[in-house]
Amino acid sequence: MNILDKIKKDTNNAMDIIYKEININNETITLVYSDVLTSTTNISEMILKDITKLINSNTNLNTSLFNYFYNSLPNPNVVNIKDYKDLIDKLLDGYVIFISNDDNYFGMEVKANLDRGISIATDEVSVRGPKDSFTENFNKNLGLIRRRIKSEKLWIDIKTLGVQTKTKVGLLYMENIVNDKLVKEVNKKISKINIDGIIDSSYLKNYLAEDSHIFPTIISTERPDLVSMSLLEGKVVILVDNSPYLLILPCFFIDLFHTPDDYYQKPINITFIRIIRLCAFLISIFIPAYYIAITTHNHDSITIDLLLNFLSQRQTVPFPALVEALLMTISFEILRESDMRMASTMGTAVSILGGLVLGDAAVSAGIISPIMIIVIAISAISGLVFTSIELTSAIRWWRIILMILASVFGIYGIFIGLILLITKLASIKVYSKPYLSPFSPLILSEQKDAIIRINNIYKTKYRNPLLSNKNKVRGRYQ
Amino acid sequence: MKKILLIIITTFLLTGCTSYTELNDLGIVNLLGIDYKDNNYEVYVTVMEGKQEDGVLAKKQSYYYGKATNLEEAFQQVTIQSNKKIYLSHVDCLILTNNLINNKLKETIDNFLSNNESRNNFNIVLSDNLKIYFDNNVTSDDINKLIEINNKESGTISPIDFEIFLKNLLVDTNSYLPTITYSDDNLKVDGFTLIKNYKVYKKLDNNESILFNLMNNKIYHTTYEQATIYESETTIRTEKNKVTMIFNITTDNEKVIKTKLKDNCKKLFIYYQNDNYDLLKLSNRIKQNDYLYYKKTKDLLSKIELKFKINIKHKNNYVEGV
Repeated sequence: MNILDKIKKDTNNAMDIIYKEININNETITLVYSDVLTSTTNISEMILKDITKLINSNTNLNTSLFNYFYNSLPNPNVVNIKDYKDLIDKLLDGYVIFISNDDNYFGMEVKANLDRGISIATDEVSVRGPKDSFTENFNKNLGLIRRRIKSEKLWIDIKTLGVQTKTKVGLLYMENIVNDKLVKEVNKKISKINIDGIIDSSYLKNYLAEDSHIFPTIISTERPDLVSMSLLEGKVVILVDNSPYLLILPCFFIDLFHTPDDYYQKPINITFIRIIRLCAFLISIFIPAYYIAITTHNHDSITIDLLLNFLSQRQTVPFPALVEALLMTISFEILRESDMRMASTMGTAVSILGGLVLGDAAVSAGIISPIMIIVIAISAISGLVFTSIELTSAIRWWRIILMILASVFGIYGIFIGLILLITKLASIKVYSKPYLSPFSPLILSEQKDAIIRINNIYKTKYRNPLLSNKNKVRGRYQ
Repeated sequence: MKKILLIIITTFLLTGCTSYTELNDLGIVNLLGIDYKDNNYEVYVTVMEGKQEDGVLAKKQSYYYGKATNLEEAFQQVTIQSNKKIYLSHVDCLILTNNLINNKLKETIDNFLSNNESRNNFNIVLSDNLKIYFDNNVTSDDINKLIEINNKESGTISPIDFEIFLKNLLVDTNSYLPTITYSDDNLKVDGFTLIKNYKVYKKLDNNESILFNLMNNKIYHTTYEQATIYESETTIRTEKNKVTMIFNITTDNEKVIKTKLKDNCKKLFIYYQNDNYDLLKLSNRIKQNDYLYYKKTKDLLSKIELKFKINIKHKNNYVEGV
């Protein structure tokens, strides 16, 4: 069986695999390529045009047709193919395979442009900073980073993961900043991955995370500026082909309260915003639980006027406060999920319907008290302050846990929950580094850019000692 | 996974095991009156309710009465009538009667202390004929504001909360209570009533109440014997049994203050000193300042020598000046 028959057999004679025979001077060469992965324009311009010219000129070739093409094609990406497996890989990666009579072959890259262009970041909206975001194209994404960090010390280790998908995965780091131990650990974890396919960078999260925590230990981002900042901090970035989201690791708890925009505005304003974010985190987790506690156990902790107000609003509600809160939380989550999945044209309809059902109608029907809508709305909106979906999900879980604890033990239960939350956060280790850093353990130099952002940038010249063990002073390299 | 499911199910089942009470099941008591008659406690309770009327909160109050041989049972009777759990955390004012103080003050205090829902910062007043207050829908706000305004304007009374009342009793079994009356559809203050050894001891008239407030540094503004006191600050210094009371008074009548007020304060103190009643708790002050002296001195109250020093600050009469 010659190689062409073998390809046909292995691909079940796939309709998108094209076999084009070319006869010149009694010599035959077959071009094999995937119609959907290659650019027909490029094939015409770079190969067929040359062949037509050759036929028309009736030139006698001094060499074989195979050698002629191999040496004269106007494309830098002409590659030798090692074996049949390599041939199939290249064929399915947008290459045209040149196969001669005697089963010699080489490949030429003529990939079709299947990507969308670089567009504006939609998930992590930038107010003042750069607007571009990553795409599904590995090279474009790498280019967006290289465009920002023009240093030979930006190193990339390429690996291919996924038995079936053979996805290109790149490990990026600043060689002169990063802690080598971290790179080794990440490389070790990546090399252990054995999986059928990697469709998106999120697939790697479970393998790269140290343990299964509800709180995110890896940041997923679509913003090149955040990736560049993280690289300069000494973090490691994972770039995955076909994924517009890059992974940054390690991620500390405080990183979830920072955005790239923090560095494009006045520090004093950012300090205020960070405090607001921290408050939003606490409000989102604790407010429904506190409301349940004061309406079911600790009625003495609020004034009589407020108590009478709550009492009057709850008079027609047939459910206990916990059930009422859970109902509202679940309704909100359903509404959010449907709004997210629904086509944008129908999103407005969902919002109006949800708003009416959850708002006015539920109150008029006496199913939900107005104050509960306010409480859950404040809690939900506070949870949406963060761009990390994992953090929003973690907040959701802890909100429910605290609501249950509050309904059983009141404010005492909230404190039990608070202790559990702090214990949980303090026990998380991200690549042997404490998750609550720089608060626990306390790193004084990092306090200048944790919650409070210091006005004087020269005071933040030292890198985080947990991330970088060489060239510790920013801007000074040995 | 089984463990997690078990925890979730158990927590739901545990709801109600502790002090879980839905708001709608609470009878929020605002004004409470306790009397003791014919070996029975009589409890008068005002329960607050809130209702939404056209989106606006309308406060309503209902009045309940319970009678039983012990206080718990009397409260239970109120619960039966109101179908709500009697909740004492938001009591703003407690009215006690002379009968109750003379017979069951200790037991009543114990009841409040053992009730973990009850706070200690509600005001206590003394009055008789409690029914009339509840029949006429007198609220705790009415009583508290009456005392507050009279304290600031006439100086004949000052509020006392449960905690201070209790502390006073614990020092030397003596305390005092502001007294109120209800007559001719009007609430009135009626000076202080002194309590000695958990019993009603004596009643101070208006002038004596003003002096009592003045010596306790609780005067904001008052009129005493044709002298208006605009501001007053009292400090007490003790050195063994010698006590100096310094009044810094802003007044328009120096003569009255320096003679009558000083003399009457002294007379009032000596009168009660002779009756072995430490009106100003000076023994306790001496104890705090000089414990050794306090310990070795027997019958300290009778040996206390009280002196007065009055610093007068004249209130300018701007009209005359012009």
